[in-house]
Amino acid sequence: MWSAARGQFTTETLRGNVPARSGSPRTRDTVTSPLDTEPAGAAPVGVSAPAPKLGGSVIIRDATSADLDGIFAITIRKCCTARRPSIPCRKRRRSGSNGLGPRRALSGAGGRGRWPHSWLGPIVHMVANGRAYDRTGRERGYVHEDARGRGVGRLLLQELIRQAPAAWRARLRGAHC
Amino acid sequence: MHVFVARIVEGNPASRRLHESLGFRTIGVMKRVGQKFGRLLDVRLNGLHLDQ
Repeated sequence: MWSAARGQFTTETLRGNVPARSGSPRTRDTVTSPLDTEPAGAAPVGVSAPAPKLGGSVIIRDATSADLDGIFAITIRKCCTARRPSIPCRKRRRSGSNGLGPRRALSGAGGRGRWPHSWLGPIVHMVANGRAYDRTGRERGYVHEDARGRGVGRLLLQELIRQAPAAWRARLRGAHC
Repeated sequence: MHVFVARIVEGNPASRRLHESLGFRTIGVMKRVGQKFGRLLDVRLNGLHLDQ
């Protein structure tokens, strides 16, 4: 979310139902962001407000139900996988068992009620397709085409790599209790 | 958790470069298993081992 008061681009990430790591703050975590390449005045398609200049740090926090509209606004786009035809994400959400869980949003020019720039699924979604995969997690991400080329995808992937091991350990503990 | 496996559909060089820059290396290609825009596409598997 763009904070005009602070002149800073912050991103919001929903950790889904992954338990907080012990010893780490539950609500906020700040990491370095590579988001500093947005040309001034370039307005993304479909977003009426001028695109902010991206830069500064990234604030990651647990999303609340109030964020869901913004998070899911992006999912009118289609997701494609290697194993099945394209299915609109909104349709998956309606199905109730989409296999993806809640998305986490990186809200750039939007904020609540507008299109976020990208999303990830819950960190380390467990795959339950049999013994061979019962210790396998799955993650998917998407960066809106208007937000590409700014390092958003890199940020998401870096965060995934950073957070996944701890999230995975928490998941395994929960699964075997 | 010791390994990440990323699946990248062909025709997405930016994603491929991004993963390679973060240490992912190609470990295989699944031929014509992805379907996008009415076409069958190769899917490249990229691995990142955390313990190496």
